[in-house]
Amino acid sequence: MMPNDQRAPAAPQARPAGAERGDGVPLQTRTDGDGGSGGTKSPGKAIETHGLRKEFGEFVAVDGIDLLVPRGSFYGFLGPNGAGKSTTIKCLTGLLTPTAGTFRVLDMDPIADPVGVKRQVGVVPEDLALFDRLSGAETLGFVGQVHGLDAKSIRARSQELLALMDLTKAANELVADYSHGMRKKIALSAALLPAPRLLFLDEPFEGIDAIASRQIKDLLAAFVKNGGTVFLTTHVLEIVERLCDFIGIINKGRLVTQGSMADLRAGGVEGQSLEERFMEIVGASKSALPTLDWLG
Amino acid sequence: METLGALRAIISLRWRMLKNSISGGRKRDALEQMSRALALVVPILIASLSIGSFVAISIIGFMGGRAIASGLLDTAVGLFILRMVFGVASFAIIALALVTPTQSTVTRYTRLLLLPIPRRVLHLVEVLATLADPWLAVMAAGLVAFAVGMLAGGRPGAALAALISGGAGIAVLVCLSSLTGFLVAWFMKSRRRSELFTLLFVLTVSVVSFIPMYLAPIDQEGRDARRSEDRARRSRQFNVEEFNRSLPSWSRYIPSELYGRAVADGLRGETVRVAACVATLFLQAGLLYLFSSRVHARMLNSLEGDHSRRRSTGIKGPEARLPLLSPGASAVAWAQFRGALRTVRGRLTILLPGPMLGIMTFAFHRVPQENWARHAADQGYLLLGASIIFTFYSLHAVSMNFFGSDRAGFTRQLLAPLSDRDLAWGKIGGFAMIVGTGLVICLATSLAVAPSGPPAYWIATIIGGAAAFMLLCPVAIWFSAIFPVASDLGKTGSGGNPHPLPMIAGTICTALFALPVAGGIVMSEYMLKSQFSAVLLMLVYLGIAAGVGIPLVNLASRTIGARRENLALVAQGK
Repeated sequence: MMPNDQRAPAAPQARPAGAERGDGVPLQTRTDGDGGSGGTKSPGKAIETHGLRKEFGEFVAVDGIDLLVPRGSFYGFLGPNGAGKSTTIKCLTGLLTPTAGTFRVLDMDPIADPVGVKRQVGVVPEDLALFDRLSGAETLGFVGQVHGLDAKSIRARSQELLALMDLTKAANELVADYSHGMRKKIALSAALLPAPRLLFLDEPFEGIDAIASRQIKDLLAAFVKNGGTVFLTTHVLEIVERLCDFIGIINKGRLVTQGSMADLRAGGVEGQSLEERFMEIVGASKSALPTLDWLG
Repeated sequence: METLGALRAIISLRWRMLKNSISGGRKRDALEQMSRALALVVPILIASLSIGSFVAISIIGFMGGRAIASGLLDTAVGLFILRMVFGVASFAIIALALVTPTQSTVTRYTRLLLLPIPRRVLHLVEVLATLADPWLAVMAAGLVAFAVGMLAGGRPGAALAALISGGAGIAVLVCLSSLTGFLVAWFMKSRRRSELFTLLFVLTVSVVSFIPMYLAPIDQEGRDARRSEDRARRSRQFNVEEFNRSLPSWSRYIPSELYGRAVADGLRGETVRVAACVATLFLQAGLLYLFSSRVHARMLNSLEGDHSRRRSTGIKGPEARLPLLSPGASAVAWAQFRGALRTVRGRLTILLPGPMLGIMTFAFHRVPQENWARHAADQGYLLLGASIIFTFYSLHAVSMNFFGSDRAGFTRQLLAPLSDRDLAWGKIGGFAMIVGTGLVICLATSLAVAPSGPPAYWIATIIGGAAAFMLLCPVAIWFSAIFPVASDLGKTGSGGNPHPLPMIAGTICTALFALPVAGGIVMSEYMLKSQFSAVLLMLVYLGIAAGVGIPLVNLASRTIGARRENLALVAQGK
């Protein structure tokens, strides 16, 4: 996948052998925020949270969720707008400090060793987190440098990623002059450049053209096939159906279901689409919605 | 009705946006709430001063109108003062309109353009919004008070003429100011063009301000003699009628002159002539309004900036690792350096202090030998020291807001495997590179303009600057972590400023840390009588500063850890 197989120098662990896809985490349907199995270390898990909670004043954005993301899985984290998806990602990536609960990322404690975790994680956050006044190539250079890659690797990986994202011609333009899609692509390139073991992607396909979207999907599928883990939030259920083998659904800050795609489907009515199943799980029944009779 | 409804909606929108920007969001801690409350002190002070000016001008206007109407003040002299005030205020209003678009963006239009609001309504709202300009508001208050004063002085006809022509004059200025603002905003749709314009504008204004000083006569005695002669001639000969005759014919049509003539004609009871002046003013306002509406439409149609592409497509490797810094801290330093120097504020910081003080020194060279300014201009290291201090001052936008001025880029740094110490030292490294670049320019300017003074003092000044820098570093990290503000260094106005408290603290600390440098040189010159001792003293100062500054930066970096969540929220603009 990458031109150079060099990893960030401080990456402490090799990928565990038992981290294949679909290792069968049973479907759990939750109605409360209770912690579950406690804070024990699970070597086969990319992400494990117990009672993860985030409050902003009186507002509870994430209400005691227990996530289990197997290593080597493509995990789709779904939920309606404002359900707590981005806040969860921000807690897991260290941008926000959880109010309560424990969590481990790649078998490490992000509170005790935030730098160690970040060395092995790539993130495309909600706001893309780009320097407006750096060019695309400089952004990649910055990411490579903070991950401790040597100049040769940074240059080679940057060239390949920029070519993949069709950004070679715009490599030396400032990010401030990029379109939304280009910004998304450079943010994704920045997440991939250090060859992370775990990718957090917050709505990565929004605003990306069809060709790049297809290429990125293939790239992510290959990344997972090679043992990487993707934690993805998206509203596009077609992407989830095609790529994800594990799903977690969050609603109003609570994890309402989690498990493999097969388990999720098995829990529903036969012939039910993922969209219908999703609507059912988050409790968005059509009859409860206003009909807007005045429209049309 | 539809137009009125849209107007009401837009006014309500603006009010709510102002209100919400003050109250802030809910996701904040107590320290951030306090920080926001403190940030309101400066706007409140400005508002208080504006209200004071408003009241003062109203009182002066009333008294002036009453004095002219009752014959206590000569009509020609009174109107001359009024015309001059009107003229100067008009110039200030246009200048402000020229500058304002350099401080804001027009992206707010995108949402409004999608709504069924006629463009003429948008234009009207923008034009009316000009009335909120403090200069215009103060001027309008003065003109109304002047008319009321004339009424109180028993000249209702003249008061009516003053009121209507004053209103018409304000209408002209409102439309002219809007037109200027729209023209500049249209021109500045491109980010690059906009930043270049702002940079050149600020540099030009700064340089032009020194021209009178440069053109001033060299000989002090001769200058004094000429001044007193001029003063005597003016007091003997100044005559308003003569002044009026000396004005070029086109000046008869500028708003302040038309207004003055309308009031004078009103006092003489010449209604037809008053009507002609007022009609001319309204005609001007109408034409300017129409023209501004065309420019406004053009501006709206070109919302997207042009994307002038860089030609080079070769991908360079990352920058070299900086000495004494970890790879991560080095990357942060380069990002800080590049990012800041690609902004208007950053460039001004580098380009302004040295050359500006250089021009000033050049001008000081023209004054007589016995003058303090001439003496100072002969000591090049003083110019260098002053330039370094001004570089520190102008860098406060960066150094007192390290974590807020990167905006989303700071989120990238928080997501990166960087320790708090890496972040702190990376920021200090970037700060050092920016200061270093400024120092090179200051040194080059000082050597070019005033290559004089003992070399030991030059060296002492540079070492002293480094010591002051070392002491300033922990202050910058602490204040940046505690009072972050999402700012845009591409803006020259308040949008690019840090929180006022760090700015004040930075200013005081810069002065305090520069004092030992001045003290060391003074002591060497007058007490120790050895120029070389200044170098030794400054080396001691640098040693102490490093001994204090480095551990304090490490200590201050813990504040970053404690404030990470808040810093992340600020970086996300929340």
